[in-house]
Amino acid sequence: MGEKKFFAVIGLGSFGYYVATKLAEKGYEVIAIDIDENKIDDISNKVTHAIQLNALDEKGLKEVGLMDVDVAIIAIKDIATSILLSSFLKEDLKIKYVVAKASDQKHGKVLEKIGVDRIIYPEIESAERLAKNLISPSIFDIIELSSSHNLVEIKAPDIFVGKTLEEIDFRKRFDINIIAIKRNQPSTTETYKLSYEESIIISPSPKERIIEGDILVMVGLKEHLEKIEKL
Amino acid sequence: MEPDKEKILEAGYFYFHNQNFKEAIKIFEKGLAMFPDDIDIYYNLGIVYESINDIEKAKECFKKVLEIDSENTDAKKHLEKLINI
Repeated sequence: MGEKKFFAVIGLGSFGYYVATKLAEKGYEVIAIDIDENKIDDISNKVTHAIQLNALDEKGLKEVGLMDVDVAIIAIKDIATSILLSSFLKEDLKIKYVVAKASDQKHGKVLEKIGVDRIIYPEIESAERLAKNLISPSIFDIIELSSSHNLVEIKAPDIFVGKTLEEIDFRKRFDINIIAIKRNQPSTTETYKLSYEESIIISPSPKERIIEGDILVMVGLKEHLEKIEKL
Repeated sequence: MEPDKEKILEAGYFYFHNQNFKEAIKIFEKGLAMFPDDIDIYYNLGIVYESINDIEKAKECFKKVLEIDSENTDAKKHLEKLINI
């Protein structure tokens, strides 16, 4: 990715709060902005800068150096404010990449017209995930790659545990590719208190043996992936 | 520490390290039958479940620890993480 990206998150409802703190946890510089002083107090020791500001205070936004961020994330509920701010960030501040949360399709359409680079529908997306998860609790994540292909993270079904990828032969049997395995490795240092470390095996070798609890990261046609989800 | 409890924690540790999670779970469950409401055993059982991505069972264990000791920061940390999954 080259140089480290610099982020701004405007609007610290639960969605904005999580995005801002997750980015900061991953070591990125984050400016968090909200009009509510309490929300600024809550996040102030978790991000690089927390600033109390009205999202429509254009002068104030310029003064805090918002034009210098690489990515701005607009997580504001109020549709009018979210639209005005998106337009200000794209047109006036010329921020390279603006992400905005949309509350519904109509809101999303307007954001798209303004030139927002990425529109997210957290409510719709999380509802879809929940529905999938209720149908199949072993699915941890689904990313739509195209209308026909998905990337799915799924807990390895019991029948695969103890077998190597070669033995299972995902490609022949299911016509899908395993691109990574997420595995938690026991890493206890104290005898009486267990702990583990998360690890990821990218492009696992055919000899890799599946262990209970492994998360398989797979790419393939939706209907082929569904066969594994049902196992 | 009670010698029997020590044995349970040691055996659980051994199975967990050898990635024999099913046995580790069995041992800790046996331990809970002997020492109900023991937070060390509940915590370790929670870690085993969490490490094999059995999220709901892991949550139950950490909640149990917090019911007994509401100030337990480790259990709190794990529970918060699992709630976000």
